[in-house]
Amino acid sequence: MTTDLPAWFSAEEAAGLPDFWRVYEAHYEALNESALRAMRAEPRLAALLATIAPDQLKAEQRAGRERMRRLIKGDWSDYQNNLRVQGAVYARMGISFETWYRLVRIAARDILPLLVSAHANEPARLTAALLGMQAFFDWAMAMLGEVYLSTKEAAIRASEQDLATTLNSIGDGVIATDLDGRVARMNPVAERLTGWELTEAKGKPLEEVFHIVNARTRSRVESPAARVLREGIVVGLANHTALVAKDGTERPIADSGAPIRDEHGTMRGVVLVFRDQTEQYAAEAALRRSENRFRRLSEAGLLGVIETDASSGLVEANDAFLAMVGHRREDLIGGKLGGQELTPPEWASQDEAAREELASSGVAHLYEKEYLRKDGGRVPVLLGAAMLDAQRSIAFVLDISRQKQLEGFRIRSLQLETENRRIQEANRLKSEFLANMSHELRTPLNAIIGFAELLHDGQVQPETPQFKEFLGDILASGRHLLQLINDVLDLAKVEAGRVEFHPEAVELRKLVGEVVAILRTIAASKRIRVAIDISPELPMVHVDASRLKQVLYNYLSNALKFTGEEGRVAVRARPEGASFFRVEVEDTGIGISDADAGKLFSEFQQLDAGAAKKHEGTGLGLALTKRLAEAQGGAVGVTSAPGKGSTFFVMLPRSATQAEPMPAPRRLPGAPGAPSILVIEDNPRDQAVIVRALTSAGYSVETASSGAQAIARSEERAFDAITLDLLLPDANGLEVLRSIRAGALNHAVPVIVITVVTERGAAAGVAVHDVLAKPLEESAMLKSLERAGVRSERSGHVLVVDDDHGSSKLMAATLARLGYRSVPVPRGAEGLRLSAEAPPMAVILDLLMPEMDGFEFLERFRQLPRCRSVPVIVWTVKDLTMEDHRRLRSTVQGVLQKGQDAGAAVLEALRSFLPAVQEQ
Amino acid sequence: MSGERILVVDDNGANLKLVAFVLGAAGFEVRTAKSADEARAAIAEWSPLLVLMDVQLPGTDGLTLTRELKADPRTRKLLIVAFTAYAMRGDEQKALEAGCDGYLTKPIDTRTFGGRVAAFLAEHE
Repeated sequence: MTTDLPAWFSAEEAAGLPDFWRVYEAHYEALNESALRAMRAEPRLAALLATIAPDQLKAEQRAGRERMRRLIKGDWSDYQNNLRVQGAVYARMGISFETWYRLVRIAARDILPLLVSAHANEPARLTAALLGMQAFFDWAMAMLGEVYLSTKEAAIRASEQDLATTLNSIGDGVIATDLDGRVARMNPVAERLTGWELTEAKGKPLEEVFHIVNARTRSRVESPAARVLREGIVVGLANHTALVAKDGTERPIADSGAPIRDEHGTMRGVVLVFRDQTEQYAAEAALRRSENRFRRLSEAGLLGVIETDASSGLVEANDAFLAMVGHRREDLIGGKLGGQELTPPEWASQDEAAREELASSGVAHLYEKEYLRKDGGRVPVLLGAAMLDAQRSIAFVLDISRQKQLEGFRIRSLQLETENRRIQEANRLKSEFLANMSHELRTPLNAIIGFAELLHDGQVQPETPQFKEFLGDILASGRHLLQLINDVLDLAKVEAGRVEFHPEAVELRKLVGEVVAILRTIAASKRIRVAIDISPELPMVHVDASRLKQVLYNYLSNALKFTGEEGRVAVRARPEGASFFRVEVEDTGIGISDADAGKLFSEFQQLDAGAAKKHEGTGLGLALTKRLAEAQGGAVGVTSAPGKGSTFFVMLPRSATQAEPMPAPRRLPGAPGAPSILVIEDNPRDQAVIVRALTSAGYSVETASSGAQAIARSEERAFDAITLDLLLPDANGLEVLRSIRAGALNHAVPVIVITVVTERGAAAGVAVHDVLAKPLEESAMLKSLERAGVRSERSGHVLVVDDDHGSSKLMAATLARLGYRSVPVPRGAEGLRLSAEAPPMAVILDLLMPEMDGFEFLERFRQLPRCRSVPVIVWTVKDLTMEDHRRLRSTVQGVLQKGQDAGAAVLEALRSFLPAVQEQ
Repeated sequence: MSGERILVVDDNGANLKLVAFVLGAAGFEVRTAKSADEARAAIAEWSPLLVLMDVQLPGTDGLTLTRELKADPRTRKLLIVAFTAYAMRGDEQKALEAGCDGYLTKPIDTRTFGGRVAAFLAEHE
């Protein structure tokens, strides 16, 4: 409230005032009486008057008079003070003092002078004027007051409304009480939670409506309002407080109570805010449980758990992990030793890949690696990681040493099983052979002894023609038996490496002629023409004559046997390169299929046991021929097609060298469609290295350990590439190469020379694709092959037949990790369809599938073209019975149990079955 | 020994000759066959009492033919004796399992052969 009041009157006006007031005083009593009368006549004023007690009125009048006196004396201070006091009252009503003062001043300034002049002339009018002025004042005040009040009321109502709306919108329950702790206000949430409606609750003590208990002890909890009212502070509830609603429902709640204070700071009541904690509690409990779970896991020592921060490295490691790596926590935490230091370098790329996966997808899927232990050892682990937030990741580490061990055992046992099967098969064949041989040997003996007995006992008379006939039978059988015995002994000798060769100068024309002569009668009886064609460049060779004759005899007699009447047989001899010569026997007989051709030269397999018997052969001839030729550093082979006749050939050094028995050539087929490489290398170790590198990369490989073998192989089929050692025991590598190039099938084949360094220059001038030095760097050879355009796709593909999506995915990922492409199919039918179009490189097969189970799939799969020898590995959860094993044994290459056999076992199994088991 | 019919099946000519001679001298009526096919034909046409069958024959072997004959109601009553030079453990068992009524090994003893065959026939009358 301001203290400088503007002057009411100007100096002139002020001069006239004392007179006015003297008059006013003189008439004061009368004025008052009439004023009162007039007020009583006006209803509103009368009401006002009624509120004032008569002595108070009198006192007011006396005070007024006193004021008058002072005013007359010229002392305005009192009046102005009064104005101030009055103004303060009006100010509390919201009417500013300025407003009121101005109003009054207007009245005083403008109206009063009128009054003064009026009084001077007409005293009665003065009274009326005064009254009017008073009335005006009061009315104005009342008006203002009313306006103020209604505005205030409106404002109050509006703010009440706002408050109500706000309260109703609050998600928490709100209860306001008065100073006695009785409910004054509730919002809908409070109504819901307490079960009381405001209308019923209003005025009731808070405790009745807001019934809270300790959830554990069930004892009543003091209402917070009581405390607030007592102490005037903000109060919160303890944990485990539950609100019991009107219907008895209990809910855990959290709340707080606070005093409601007015603008003077006086407490007017308590406001209570509370919320239903049920969900919160449940969430917290769940969180605690899961934290607990995690902690139990982490503490149970089953799993290593480590946390890594992007900037500070390893920040946490549990005891299990520490035990795994043998380090102490202090050594690891704080970035002193991190994941990188603990990991052997060969796993670095796996770690890198995992880090990338983590960064891009937030999760690094399980992968295997090893950690370096403090004691220098290694621990194989399975690792998976996930990002916790932008900086931190958490990884789970499972020690799989035991699994690895088991895998090792399983792989070993698989290998042993395979080995065992091979041995058993070989044994079986040997037994079969022995049985055959036994029969073969006894049969002629039967005739010999039998007929001899007859003749001896005089059953047949000497003079009879039968006598001579029987003698002839004895002779023939004896001879046949002799031949058999010789063959068997020869074979045994060759196998034992005990054959001695006796090379001598041989005139080929003569030798061939002799052999042909022996068989002349047979040829004549079937009217088969035998033509001899010896190249003029080849009159003499230096070989073991009788062995050569043996071979020729074998070939020629076969040719005659298998050629029909009026057929033609040709015997040819010509040089082969500078060092060799070859002899061929070509016939127009029934021919031999590719499949059978592979078996021809094997001693324990006969094309058709029956056919051999039919033609009274020993079944050993070709096997012996092969052994004999190879033992002399030569080679044998055959080209034929069913119905088109056959050409058997033997190649031998022109000048016999007493060589070590040479390793036999091998054939290792790769995936169908894989490119084929001929590896010419006599050193067994070197050969093994090259072969292994090529077969691992998916190529199909055939080996040759000598020039002769190499040339023989090169005539049988076209290769996609050749690796050539320059130093061969029987010939110069380049010479061999020339011979190979001279042939139709391989004249443009890319050749990679692999040789010891000093020989490198020797390849100059000859068209080879590349020259590599020994010891061989595998990658160099593989790259060289790729450059030559001889690429092996490490697939085709592996067909994964499994209806379980999870297993399928796991298998595909495992295969992909090591470079195999996989094609997953959920049903056998689809697998068959795809395989019919493109045979897979291998199949991983589940047994338990709907519609078509693994057994049925297998049966049908094996009937598809080119799928007969595709390696199949069964990977199943099924506990296999003996019957199952029997069914599978002959058609699948391996059986692995899901769950027991991790991916690595499967891969090892695949590695040993790709390329196919058959080595020929 | 009164002309019972015996069929001898063996792919070895000398053997056939020998056995045929010995049995013939012993009073049997003998025919020979060199293969399973020939044997079937002879059996169908000639109805022998006994078949002496070498187990190793070209094409269908002797034991398979034995099973075949024993399974066929028309020929089940045929007496079949396996005649083999195998003499390995298990051979006799295999022959008997295939349905052979008897088992003989080569080489034969020409002196006693006829008698043994007769005794066998007597046992299986």
